[in-house]
Amino acid sequence: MGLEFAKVLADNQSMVFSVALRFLRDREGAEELAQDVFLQFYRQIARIESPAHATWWLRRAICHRSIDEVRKRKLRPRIGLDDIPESPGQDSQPDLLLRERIRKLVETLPEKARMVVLLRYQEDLDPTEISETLHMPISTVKSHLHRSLTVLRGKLRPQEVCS
Amino acid sequence: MNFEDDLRAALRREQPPADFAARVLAKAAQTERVVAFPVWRRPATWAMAAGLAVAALVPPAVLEYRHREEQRALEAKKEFLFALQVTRTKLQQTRARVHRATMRHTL
Repeated sequence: MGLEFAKVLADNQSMVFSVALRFLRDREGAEELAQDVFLQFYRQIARIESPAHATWWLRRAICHRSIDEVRKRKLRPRIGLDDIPESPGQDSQPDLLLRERIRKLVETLPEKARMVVLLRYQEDLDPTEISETLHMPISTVKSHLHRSLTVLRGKLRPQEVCS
Repeated sequence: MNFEDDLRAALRREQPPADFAARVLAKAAQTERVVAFPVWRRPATWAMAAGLAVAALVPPAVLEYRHREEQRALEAKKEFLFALQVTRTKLQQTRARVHRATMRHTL
């Protein structure tokens, strides 16, 4: 068995960092947590059987560590609608501003729902994979997704939602 | 684009800082790895094997001990009954002698 740590790191660093960043909403904290997760992985690397196993292990670790970290910091989302940028005008860069606004809205979701949305739309996992990663019943995953989409759609102004 | 595509675009992965990997590798160089021993060399395996061996050996040993104790009890019972028999015979002989002596004395 010879998984090369540097290769695993290169292949997975953006996934691990992005999950932590979107979840913690703190770049420095995300870097620190991502680093910790990679070091934890490094200690266990002899038990990892394949690159897919490594990705699965890292994804699960960063999700759970991010949730723990937020709970530890008691960083419940406190961003109100006032913090969300105003709807862009016709002549600004509508896509960029809309994305920023969506990101901010995602940050206001409760922890578990936010992680489910991240895994679905950032990591492109299907509900079964999300349920395995978060140890959550698949019905709960689906209900988080459904409710979150409804909330997010509702918070965006109607003219900004294309469909 | 529909809303879910907007979500995907908004939540696109971000790259960590350029020196992130180098920093992690530098820290990893100072970190000890857990050595994955083969199954037969893991302490847990030995503990489980010892447990199974004890579980396999103890019941026959207990049965053997009980059997021996029963044998000893039977032997003891036999000896006790034999001793009673001897005592009874001796007593009968003594009683017969006493009886004969009493008869002679009376005559």
